[in-house]
Amino acid sequence: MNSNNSGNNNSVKIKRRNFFVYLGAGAVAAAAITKLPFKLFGQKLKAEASVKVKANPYAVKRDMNMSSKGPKGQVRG
Amino acid sequence: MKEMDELKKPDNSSEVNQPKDSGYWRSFKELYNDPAFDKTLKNEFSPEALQKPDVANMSAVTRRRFLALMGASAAFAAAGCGNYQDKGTIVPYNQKPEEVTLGLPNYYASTCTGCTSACGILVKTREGRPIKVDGNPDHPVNKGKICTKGQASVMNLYNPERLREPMMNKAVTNWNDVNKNVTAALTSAAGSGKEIAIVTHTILSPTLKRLLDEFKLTFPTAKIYSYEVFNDSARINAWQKSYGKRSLPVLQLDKAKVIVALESDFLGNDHNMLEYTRMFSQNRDVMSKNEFNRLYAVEGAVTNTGMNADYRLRLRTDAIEEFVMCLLNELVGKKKLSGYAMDSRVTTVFASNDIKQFAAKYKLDEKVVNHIVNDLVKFQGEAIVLGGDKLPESTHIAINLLNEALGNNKLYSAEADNTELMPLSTSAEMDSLVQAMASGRVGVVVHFDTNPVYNLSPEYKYEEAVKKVPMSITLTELVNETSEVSNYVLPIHNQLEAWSDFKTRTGFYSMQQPIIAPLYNTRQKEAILLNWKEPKEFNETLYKDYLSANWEKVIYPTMAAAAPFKKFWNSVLHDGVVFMNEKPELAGGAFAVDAFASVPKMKASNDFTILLQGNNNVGDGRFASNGWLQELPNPVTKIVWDNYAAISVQSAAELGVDTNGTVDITIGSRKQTFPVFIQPGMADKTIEISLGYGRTAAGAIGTGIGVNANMLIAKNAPLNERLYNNAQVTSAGGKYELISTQEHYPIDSDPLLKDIQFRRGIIRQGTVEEYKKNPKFLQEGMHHMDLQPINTPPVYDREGFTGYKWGMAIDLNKCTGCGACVTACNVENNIPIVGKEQVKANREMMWLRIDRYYYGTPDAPSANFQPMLCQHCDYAPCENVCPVAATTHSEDGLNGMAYNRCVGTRYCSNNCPYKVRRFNYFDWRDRVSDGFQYAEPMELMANPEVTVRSRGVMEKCTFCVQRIMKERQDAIQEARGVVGSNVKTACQDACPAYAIEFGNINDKESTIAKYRTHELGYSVLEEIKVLPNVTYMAKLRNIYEPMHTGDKKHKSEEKKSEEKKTEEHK
Repeated sequence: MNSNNSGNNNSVKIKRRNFFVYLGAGAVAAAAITKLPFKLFGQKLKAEASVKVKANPYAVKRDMNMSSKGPKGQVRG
Repeated sequence: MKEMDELKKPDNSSEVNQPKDSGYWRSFKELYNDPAFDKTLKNEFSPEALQKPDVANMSAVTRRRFLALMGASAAFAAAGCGNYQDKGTIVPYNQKPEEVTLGLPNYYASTCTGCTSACGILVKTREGRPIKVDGNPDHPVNKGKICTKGQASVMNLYNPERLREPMMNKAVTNWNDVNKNVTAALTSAAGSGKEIAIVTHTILSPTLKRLLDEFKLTFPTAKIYSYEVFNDSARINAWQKSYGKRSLPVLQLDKAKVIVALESDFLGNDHNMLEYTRMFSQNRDVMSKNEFNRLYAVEGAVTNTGMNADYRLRLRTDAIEEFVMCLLNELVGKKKLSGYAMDSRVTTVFASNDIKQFAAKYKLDEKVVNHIVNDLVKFQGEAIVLGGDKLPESTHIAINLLNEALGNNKLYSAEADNTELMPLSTSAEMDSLVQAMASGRVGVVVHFDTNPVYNLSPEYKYEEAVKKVPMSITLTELVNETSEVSNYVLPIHNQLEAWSDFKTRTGFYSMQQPIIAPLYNTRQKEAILLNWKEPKEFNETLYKDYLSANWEKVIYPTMAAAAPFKKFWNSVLHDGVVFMNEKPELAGGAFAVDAFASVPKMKASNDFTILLQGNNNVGDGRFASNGWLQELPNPVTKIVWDNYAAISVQSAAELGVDTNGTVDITIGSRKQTFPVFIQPGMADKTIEISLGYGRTAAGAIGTGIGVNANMLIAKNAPLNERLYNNAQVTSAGGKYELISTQEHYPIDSDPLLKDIQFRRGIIRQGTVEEYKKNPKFLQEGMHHMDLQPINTPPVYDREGFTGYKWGMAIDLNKCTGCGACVTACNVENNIPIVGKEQVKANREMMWLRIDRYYYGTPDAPSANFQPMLCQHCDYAPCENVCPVAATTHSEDGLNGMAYNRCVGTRYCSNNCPYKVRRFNYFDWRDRVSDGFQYAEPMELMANPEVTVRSRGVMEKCTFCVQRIMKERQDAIQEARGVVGSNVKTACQDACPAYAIEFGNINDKESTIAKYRTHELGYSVLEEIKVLPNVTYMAKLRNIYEPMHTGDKKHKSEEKKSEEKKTEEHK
């Protein structure tokens, strides 16, 4: 059960001042590390996809503006 | 059981167990006022969605420590990490393909290979990849429409589980080794006299037929076996016996004034559904002057067709032939409507069949039976009697005679409905193949994109036999039950990557061209065969060259085309279909009376009848891996992700089973256990089960879904492979939860307002006669609730607005509930799959649903289908309550949704009276089947014109705003105004019945404006005055009797109470 007043509280209570000092130091350290040219925390670019998309070169695209109801067996120019 | 017992209670003292007054009901719980159901109505969310976390088992971390850790983590994350939304750098083409214009789609014509109909399709591509499949408007059969399976077929291309490399003994190999080994085995088999078996589906391609013939010449011991689970063999064989030819005519249902469907689901799963739906709905159009047709359905199962019928009789399927005999006796024998009355060979067959006795025996409504008889008399030559594909030959022969005698053969078109390039193998032939395999006489067996281990009757023992063949090869896109027992599993192209031609009917060819280059190291199955026949270096154009060469040498010369072949070929591929002058080989001559007289007749038994049905989800099982289709609710039962044994109320009571129980079904030596679903309207002692489920090797999505009903198929079925009337059914005592969406989001019941559901008029209907006498009957009959509008004063003033305003109309006369619109919407708008468990928690994500309302009694219900989507209300109650203004109203009447503003309070969904809003409780793509929808290359399937929503965001129908924007862009480019009719929503495009209309309602000349002002037009929940912009056309039943539904009953009650009040006042 969650409780604010746990009987078994063995944690050492950190002083508020020290907390913010450590927090600030941590933030500065993290910022400094991210400036290094190693991109430790930077989002890696997604690896090149293994599935390549390529249209079929022999497929005939439909001209949506052209009516295709031509006479039987005949072709428009 | 308790529920069933209480239903039988004669004591009327308890209101709980009395059925509601006649009105609309969706399930038995609603009908019988189940208190548990009433309780669920009060809840916005289902119990599963409200499960509280188990606090007792939570971690005992203190709040202080938790916050400290969280604060530190947040600080590190903010300081160190990059933008989590950054997916990398988008780089434009540095060599743009010529045919691609970024941001604009291309279209290609092709042919769908999902079933034997081979409908023409038009595939929309963006940046070279197909994203939407619609019908080809130039195809004479489907004319721009495609069924649910065709719509969802784009997911099959991008299925992450598609095979990518050839496999030998479950290890990846290469094509060269495969070809070397296989050609050696083929040569050896042919040389030693061993059979080379090729097992295929129906051959529809003339070029493939030629290839197979040449293959047989190269390998003389090669034999072709073909089978099809859903075939028309009984009808074709009956036609051959009746008329001497195997070409069935196309039925001109658009000219039929009366249609009598005998176990024929021509609006659902039977052959040629798209064409017949179009033809049927042409005479259900309130905007046209055509007289309404009248549809009678006589069936044991409950089908789409039956639910749309004007009159429906429930009759066990094995009694249908007797019914036809009764009709023959009545019409030919007694009324002497045909010269066959003089032929004793004919009359002696049915002389003892009395229709009145028959109706009494099977408790048929005599009034309806008389209507059928009278209408067939009155409309001779303008009526048609249809038999379903599950009926045996003898019944079809009898139906042929009935149509012949009544002159209904005038409705047979000159076109042949089927072109049989190669007849399907008989069961004896399949059996001889299995025997040959088992005894070692087959050297090589090639499964040509077939799955006989799953599809065929277990009596063949196909799996055991194929294991004895030295070389078994399966050509397939996905792993299946047959590939699991094959030595070689060779990956083949998807239909969108392949070449072919199709000849399904007289007068034209359909063409299939690849839209996209193969995604993986797959090959076209015909090309594989060609390469074995003529071993040479393989290239991707191998089959294309063979195909075009066949056309140039064989087919083109018959066309008398003016253009040279190259131009002709390009034109054919451009159109997707080519017409030709062709004389159909239809039967001439008289009906073969001896066939009718001599064929053994089907007789009704006392045992259970089992019907093995098709479905609009998984087909014969080949679409089991398609999540969209698995999650599409069955049109009648609304069950998802499962099949079941649908059974009548009475039969369930006799067996002592209830919905979600299980039954054992035994037919001879074949037995299987199925979950039970009590379906209103089923004939007693008739059970209907869908095929295509219970697969054991269908990937993450399809494996283990449902129960395999193929186990009940007999090798030599006495009646039909999908109809058995000698089944024993017993309760299995188990439990299996079926998930149905039919009770989700009921908007017709509110216990606070007594009987309000009867007066809410969600479904409004009348009769054709009533409409003819008084076209304004609907407006006069409407109740006008004295309720204050929800938004007072209006949110904004719309008067004086002169721009365009979008609206939709749905004609309930035409809607058959097939679900093509739902699937099209899913594809167009990147709707995710949520899985069975989340559908149970009412969290299905489909923007469009089709509500199915029964009315009448559980034994003989009628049904109405009503597509329900966001109504884009002018006074939308959802817009006011959003705390962050994420949902607002646009100038042109759309209720818009800003996904990146939404914080997920869900207040809008709470307020929506139509319950059409969908919330992303989870990132469904990540959650379902271990991120199946995020697996490569599923992201290629997404429509780039529509945002892909993530967790925590509300979504709903947008009236396809991306298509509206496209029209706006075109209008700006062309310096013209927006034309409403240029915009077609995905659902409108897909509907085979043309039931949906969309456009600018401010354009008074437009069709949509005419629908809006039509006397049959109404809005759902009008009384709450949210001013929805979707207009429904009231359904007109073409029946002789006046209609009694809940709202009319209460109208008369209200009138009585008002009269009483007036008298008291006096």
